[in-house]
Amino acid sequence: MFRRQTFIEVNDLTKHFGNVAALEGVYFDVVEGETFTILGLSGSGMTTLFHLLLGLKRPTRGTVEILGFDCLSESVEVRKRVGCVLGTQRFHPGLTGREYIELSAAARESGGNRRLELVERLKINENEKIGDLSDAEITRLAWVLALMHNPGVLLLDNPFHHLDECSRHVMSGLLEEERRKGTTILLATDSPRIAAQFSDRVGTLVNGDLTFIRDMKRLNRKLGKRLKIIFREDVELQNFISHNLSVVSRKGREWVVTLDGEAGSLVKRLGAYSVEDVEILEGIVEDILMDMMRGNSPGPYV
Amino acid sequence: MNVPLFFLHFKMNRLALVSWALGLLVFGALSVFWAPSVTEQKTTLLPYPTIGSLPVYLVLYALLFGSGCLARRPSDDLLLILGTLPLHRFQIALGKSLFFAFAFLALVIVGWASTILAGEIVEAELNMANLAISVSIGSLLVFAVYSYTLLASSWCSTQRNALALSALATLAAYLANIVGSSYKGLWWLADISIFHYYDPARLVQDGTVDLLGVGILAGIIIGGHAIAMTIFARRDLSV
Repeated sequence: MFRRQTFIEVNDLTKHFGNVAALEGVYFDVVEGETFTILGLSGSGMTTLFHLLLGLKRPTRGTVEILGFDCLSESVEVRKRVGCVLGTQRFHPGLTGREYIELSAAARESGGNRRLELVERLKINENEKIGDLSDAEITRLAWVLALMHNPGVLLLDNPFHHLDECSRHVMSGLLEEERRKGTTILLATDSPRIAAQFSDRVGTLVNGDLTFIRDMKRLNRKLGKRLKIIFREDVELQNFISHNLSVVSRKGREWVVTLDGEAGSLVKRLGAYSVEDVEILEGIVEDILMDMMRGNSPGPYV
Repeated sequence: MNVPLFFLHFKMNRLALVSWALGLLVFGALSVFWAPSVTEQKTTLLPYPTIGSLPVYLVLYALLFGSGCLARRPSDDLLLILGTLPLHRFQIALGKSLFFAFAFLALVIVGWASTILAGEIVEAELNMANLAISVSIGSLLVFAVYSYTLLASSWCSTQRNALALSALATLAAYLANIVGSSYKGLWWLADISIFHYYDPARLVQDGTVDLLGVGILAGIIIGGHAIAMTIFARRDLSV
């Protein structure tokens, strides 16, 4: 059987700053082509984790490997092969985007067509000083720096930070493209919506502790689709439920149900009643992720 | 050497460089107008300018630049951005020191040119060879200060702390030299000060080089850099 290679491997990763534990015994791995999302609130240790992955900080205990290279002793090899967006980094206001791009291109001995394509697509004015750019433009510049050398692994720490809706849409498209290309992605975010949208697996980081790791496909399958049905008549519960349909709540003629699997049986059942409206409810996964992020167990759902 | 990195440092520091260059233009000219003959260049004490004390003023530049090299600067995250590139830590540190050497050389040339020009105007009695020796030893003093400031910035997490530490050390050394030279019983205070090993008045007048002093200053430069780079390579980046 084909087994995908592990691209990122984190073992017992611990980082203390004095008496404060920023990370405590974190274990996870990310396989080739997978998007793994670390979901956590601000201050939960996500940025420290990324700093350790990039070799910017030394772990108190534990090891991190990316593409088989140790992130501490072989960090230069790691950074050659990795692209990163650190959402909170500040660029010098007196410099231009071009200067940062050229610095990065020289250090990585890369650039060329991909750089031009990204600059054009993300509408970066390379000659404008950073001080004259909006926050969204600066974040887009950070994306150019991360992708211009076609990295096999992307480390994205709050990559949608400061982005307006339009830029977010463009960057989402870019991220989807990278996923389709098979780039291995480690994403950190405080947004359950982003985690639900892009992830193959999600782990929640709470106070430096990676508490729950869930496979998003499995989670979605277990949760099914949630629908709100408004009947025009009273309906008996036992007449309506079936093996792939469960009722979450009822308020008079307004029902919320969960559908697991094909919709055919539901359509057939609804045909027998007078129905005013059917609405597909979104955000169930997000709600559960939000709960997980707060340190609560995903409970009976998963 | 990463050429774009060098230009990046240049662009980030160009305003400061221009300001210092203007200051040195005035300083160089004033030092000649103040004391146009070699025999009048008597004192090593600041604040009034003498030809040989020109590099000593650049100690301030060494403190300001060196303290922000390896510690977090308040204005930007350059260290973080450099840290995400495939560069070794020593390349980052060495790049900064090379830029400092370039900037220092440019400033010394400006100061020197100003001195010579002013000397021509007032027909000053200058010994160019002695002046060159004085500037060279003075440069060693500035690099020694830069070197321990770099060490402080590799150890401290912020530029402010590094600047406070190295400025305090420099001020203490400067005062130790003055006190040690003034009171015979406290001569040893002068001996432990790096300022003791640079006597511009004597150098400008007779060009005698104190080889022990040169060795001590060179030792501080090499030792400071070596320890700074070792610490910088092994510690958490201040980001």
